[in-house]
Amino acid sequence: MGTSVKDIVIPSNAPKSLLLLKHADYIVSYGEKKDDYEYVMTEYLRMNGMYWGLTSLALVGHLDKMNRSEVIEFVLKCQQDCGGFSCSIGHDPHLLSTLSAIQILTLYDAVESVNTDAVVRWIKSLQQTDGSFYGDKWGEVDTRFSFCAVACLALLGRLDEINVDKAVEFVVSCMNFDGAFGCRPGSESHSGQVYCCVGMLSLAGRLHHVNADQLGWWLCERQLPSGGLNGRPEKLPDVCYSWWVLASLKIIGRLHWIDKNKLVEFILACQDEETGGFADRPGDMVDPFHTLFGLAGLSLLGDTTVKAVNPVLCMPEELLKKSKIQFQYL
Amino acid sequence: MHGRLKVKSTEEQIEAKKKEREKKLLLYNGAMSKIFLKKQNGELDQEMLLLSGEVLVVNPDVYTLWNFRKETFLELSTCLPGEQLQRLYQSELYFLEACLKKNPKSYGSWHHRCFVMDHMPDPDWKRELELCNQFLQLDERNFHCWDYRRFVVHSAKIPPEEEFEFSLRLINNNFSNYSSWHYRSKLLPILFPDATQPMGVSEDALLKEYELVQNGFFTDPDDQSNWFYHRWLMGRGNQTLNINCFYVSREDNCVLVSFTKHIQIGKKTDLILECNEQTMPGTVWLNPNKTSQSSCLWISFYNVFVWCNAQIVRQISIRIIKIIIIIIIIMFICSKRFCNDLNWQYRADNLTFPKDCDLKVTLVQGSLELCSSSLHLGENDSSLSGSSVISMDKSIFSQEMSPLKKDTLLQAMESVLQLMEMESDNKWTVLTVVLLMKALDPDSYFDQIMCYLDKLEDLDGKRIHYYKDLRSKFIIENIFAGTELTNASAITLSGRSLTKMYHTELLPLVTSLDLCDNLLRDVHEFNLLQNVKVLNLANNKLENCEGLQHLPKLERLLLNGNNLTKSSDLLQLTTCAKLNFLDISNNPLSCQEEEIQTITALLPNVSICFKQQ
Repeated sequence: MGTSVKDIVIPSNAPKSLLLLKHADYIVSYGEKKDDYEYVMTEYLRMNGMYWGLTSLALVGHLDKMNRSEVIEFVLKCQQDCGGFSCSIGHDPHLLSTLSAIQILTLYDAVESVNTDAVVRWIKSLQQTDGSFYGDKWGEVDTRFSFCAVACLALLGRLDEINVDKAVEFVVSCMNFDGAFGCRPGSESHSGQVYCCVGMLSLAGRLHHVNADQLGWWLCERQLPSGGLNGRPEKLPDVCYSWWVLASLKIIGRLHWIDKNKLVEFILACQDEETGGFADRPGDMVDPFHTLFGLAGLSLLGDTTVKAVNPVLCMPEELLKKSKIQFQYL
Repeated sequence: MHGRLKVKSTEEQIEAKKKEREKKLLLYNGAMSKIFLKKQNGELDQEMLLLSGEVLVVNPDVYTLWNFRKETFLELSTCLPGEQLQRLYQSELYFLEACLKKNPKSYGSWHHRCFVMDHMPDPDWKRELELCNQFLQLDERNFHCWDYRRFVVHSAKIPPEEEFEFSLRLINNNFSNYSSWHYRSKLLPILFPDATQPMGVSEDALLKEYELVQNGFFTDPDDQSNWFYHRWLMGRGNQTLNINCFYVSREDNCVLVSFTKHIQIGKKTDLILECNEQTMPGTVWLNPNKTSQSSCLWISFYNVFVWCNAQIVRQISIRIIKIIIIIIIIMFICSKRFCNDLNWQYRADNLTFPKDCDLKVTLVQGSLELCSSSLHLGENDSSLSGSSVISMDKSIFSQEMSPLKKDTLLQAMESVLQLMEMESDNKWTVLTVVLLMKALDPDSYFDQIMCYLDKLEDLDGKRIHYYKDLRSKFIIENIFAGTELTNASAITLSGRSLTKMYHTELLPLVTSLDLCDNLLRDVHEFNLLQNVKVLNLANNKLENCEGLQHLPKLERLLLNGNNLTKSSDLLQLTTCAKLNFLDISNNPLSCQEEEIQTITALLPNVSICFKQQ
């Protein structure tokens, strides 16, 4: 009853070089089609989408192509009375959109234009006695939210406002038999969750909880014959895992455990030569999410035409060097 | 936006799609503005459910609408009679099923289902479990559904035995089911607890799992799930916290304690130093990086003034230092009598150890004593080390095994070797044999392990550096297992193709370490070598010195023949106060005049060799 390895074959005519400018154009034009079906239907991701797009542009050195004041105005309109940010105007606040909002403001050096005290108070209010974080007042718990909370506070320089010990304790309680992490205690390991947990522990300076050799092995086994990375065992490869897996490997000092050349080949093959942008797999539809994580992955793999990216916060390294944020790496 | 194939369409198709989308867009925009208007007006009623439902069934990720529904339900619970409310919640469950069938991976839908079950007057948990079974039949790896199942199991108090049975059914149906193996790893410690075993699971139960997973990899030797689980079963579990080494130096007036695990001293955990059964006052513990972040090595300097002069000033705020100085002055005044009582040597700027004393360190958490170590410092001892477990016997790297377990592992090895013969290019069998040999008898299987690691590099080129690092670890453990590390002052590991250094935590007393002619890429955690004077890292692949900071005794450092390219790669060396000789010849930076000048200025007291003589 053998299962064949789930993987793809890279078409021979797939792109083999980085189409840097096309990606900048793709992002800019994506942001311009505000009445487009695709654009409207993803309103629930607007703030995240703007972070993906703007960071992509920053990494290829074209952040100036967007209208700074327009973006900041939108972000300000999304801050709710409670302090948190919503994905779009009229929607409810959530930690996922709050981190994106703070990241966008940091990109534009405009954090001071919002009420940061209110953001901090709101984030604090979402921490539970077991150390976990709700995503919003409705009580969903997830290690993604632990990362969002800690990353926001680190960017605001206010990490000491929450109970970091408890937050770490909760994240560590989500560690599994394979050394990787899941959404909640008992949940199966997933590369996206690993990134969140490892990133959170890096910001908290507690990476010693991670068994780097064990986790590193699980992560490097995500690489498939095509060179692409999957997010869990026996799953298909996807460009976004070039980020979740790669960034985690970088943080725990095991980036050399995968075959870099094969992965670069896979990521480049996911570009769309006509429109620019990256898809999850060669030949699929592109979107800003995969575009950012394709570019950021290439940056971690040493492509110097893309700016150096910070593996914990997925933002340009040069920007964060100016901040006082402490990143721990193994 | 995953897995949507980009297809070439005709102009007609494009036009038709455009029209269809315009229609959908109109509907979406219309519904959304109505919903937001209702929300603004506080109209949380059945119509709100209807309108938001129209959007959610198409696009279940619009989390704000799920929130509106929750608010509506909370509002309706205050005015609807119980029966009606129950029916309303029930219809919400049906609605959710429709959404989940359309998109079984929507976080919002699954969380909303939890909300409904938590709030409805009479929840039917059995039905929910049945729903999980159905969804897992469609996709046995859907982690949202697995998480929902755990929520149901917890809420309905379903016994873990039944869930264990359930996971077995799934595995017997398809061994390639990582989610089920994962579930078993969580259920085993609950069902068969045994605190004396490394994994917290009784040996008997573990051995049964071995059998099950062996069936798995015999059925499908290329599936990762079985092999990952098998490796976990072979694991040693967590190392227990203990003191590796307790070292006191009269010369440097410092105490050094190394542990088997990382700990953080100062928060909940405290390390208490006693001299002749009296707690030493003013003990300040820092890790080798001179911070209080967690570490397996903690150092206390007694000459507090020297301690202040060291480079910590930058890292600790002036305020803390002021407080410390005030404490010292108070201590200074108070301790005069105290010290006389204890017959301590007393100098104006310095607290030192008494001529002849019993010293003890104890790690405490609240009132709980975690571990301790003691030694007697004689009048003529300049430095001394003691330990509770440092006698570097083999158990540090291997596990105590019962005859039964040994037997099981031997049998496992035999069957995996058999499988290896049949599947000659299967890397999992080779790796598993390596791990079994390492667990059973790393010394006598050593040469075979090395051979199999060669084979793995051939079979699995993508992970070649993983195998190289694993090999380095095994080589180092093999050498350390045969060395009495407490007494060893010099360790030689040169010319062994090591790509990574492991276990520097076991070498706090080593004064000379030779690692030349290897393939090391980094020197992380080398600052655990607090007594090292001579460090030979010549002819490796180092690109920076991250890890060589704050080595107080380091005098000679050989870095010739590495990949150091710029002066900033050596920045850490400025924190090694006693460094007097440095060889950086044969590095890319050593032929650049500008870099040479910067380095000379950076390390004024060091004699530096830039060119090979």
